[in-house]
Amino acid sequence: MKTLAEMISDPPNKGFVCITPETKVTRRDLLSKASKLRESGEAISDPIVSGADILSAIPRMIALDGFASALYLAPADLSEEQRARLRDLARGVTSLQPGAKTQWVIATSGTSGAPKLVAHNLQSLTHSLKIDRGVGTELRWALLYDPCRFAGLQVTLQAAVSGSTLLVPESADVEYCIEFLRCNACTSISATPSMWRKVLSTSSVKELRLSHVTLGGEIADDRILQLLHATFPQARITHIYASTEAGVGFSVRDGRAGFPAEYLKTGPSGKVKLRISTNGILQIHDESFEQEYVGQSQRLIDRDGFIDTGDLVKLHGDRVFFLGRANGSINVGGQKVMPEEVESLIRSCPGVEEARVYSKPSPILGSIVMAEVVAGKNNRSDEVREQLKAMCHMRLEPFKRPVVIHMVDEIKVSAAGKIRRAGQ
Amino acid sequence: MVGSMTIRQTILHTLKDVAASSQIILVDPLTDETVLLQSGLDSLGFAILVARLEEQLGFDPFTMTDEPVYPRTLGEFITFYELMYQRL
Repeated sequence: MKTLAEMISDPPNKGFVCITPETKVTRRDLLSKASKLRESGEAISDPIVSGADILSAIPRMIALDGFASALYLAPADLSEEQRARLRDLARGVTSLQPGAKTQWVIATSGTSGAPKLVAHNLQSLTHSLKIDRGVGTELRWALLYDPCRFAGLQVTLQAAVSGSTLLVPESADVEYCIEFLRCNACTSISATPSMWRKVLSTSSVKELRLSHVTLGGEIADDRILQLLHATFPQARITHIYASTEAGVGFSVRDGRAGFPAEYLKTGPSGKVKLRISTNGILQIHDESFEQEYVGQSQRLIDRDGFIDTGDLVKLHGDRVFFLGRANGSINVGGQKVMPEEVESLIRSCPGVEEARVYSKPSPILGSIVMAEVVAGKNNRSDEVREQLKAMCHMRLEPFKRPVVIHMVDEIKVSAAGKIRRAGQ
Repeated sequence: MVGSMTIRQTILHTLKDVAASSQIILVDPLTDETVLLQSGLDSLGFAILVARLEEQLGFDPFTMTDEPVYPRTLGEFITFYELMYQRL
């Protein structure tokens, strides 16, 4: 197995370059910065990679992989408690023993539940990347996420090991990001469905000429897939199923929500196998799984070699559909509501641009369902709310209906691009 | 007070509104002696009522006391809201 430095140093990868609004840094600069970090001893003494600055993060990843026993990825929004934990763990880092692999320790996004640390290695992070050097050098990938979160790391590594250009807008302002990407001839964007809905509402989106559109991290429903196809008819639209724990599991390219039920029998590709547990959770198996939780007795991989993804799924005809996170349901007086189901219905209502469904404590039922909705441009909020009320009444069982629908200007997403599930 | 409405008026108005939107028929007549569980509204209806009242009045009295409070009649329910409103 090659190290990251060796992969990037491959002559065909000379095209790897990182462009930010301020500067352009070539592969040679990044490799040379990495060498200095190794030579000065700084790599081992500080094996924490900070996601706040991409131009420091990449050389540090290159310096540490294949050189140190572990590297720790610290996204910019990591809590102080988690950061202190990383600092403690980092004190134990030594030079890599012969034959060993550098552990890449990543925090889960903690969208539902407390974040956990998962140890991967370069192989488990890159084995599913499509490395096509002929095409790779022509691609210009947008990095819309922190490079130290799983989704951002995937994009960063994809560009690095395929000799692509990495475009880093370094801004949370989606309108600005898309304008930056347009000016830099971006060809490829990977984003969560929530982030895509924001991208689709920007004024320069139609001027983007994308060949690769990738979705991941949240449920991709038919509506977002259709909208993306209509906006980027020339692009290959791929829905990736991935998680920090499992790495990249599989991808779906047929433009429909969910995945073919056939995958449960034949596996989606290569060595990956899928099954649904008795309680309806998708489980995934890959012969090359080596990842594990850090500092936790909980096993990541069960005795049969499967990882429990925590995603509830439902087999319906020839398709398996995602229902939402198993631990993210709202318990309304003992009846469970999947916020994703309600959000999906709300988004299908004309005049709705985005929706967030969340739980609110109730003295009577434990929790109740609440919703925040952004009306589309040229739509009146009060009219959209009335339409939604009527629609929810007709299509949802009473306990699933949002008790209050707040019309808001914007729904914020986390640094991982996902809708936050915790209540207000 | 919400606009020109008293707490009592707001509760009665919201109660009828929740019943109408949930297609529930309330007992007639609705008085202070009406037992909540026999008013026609089920527990989901009450949870909705409390949440909507919080939107309109700006407080949820059930979260303002350490002691669990279970008003039995409509009159007790209204009094509880009026009492907690004074503590704001």
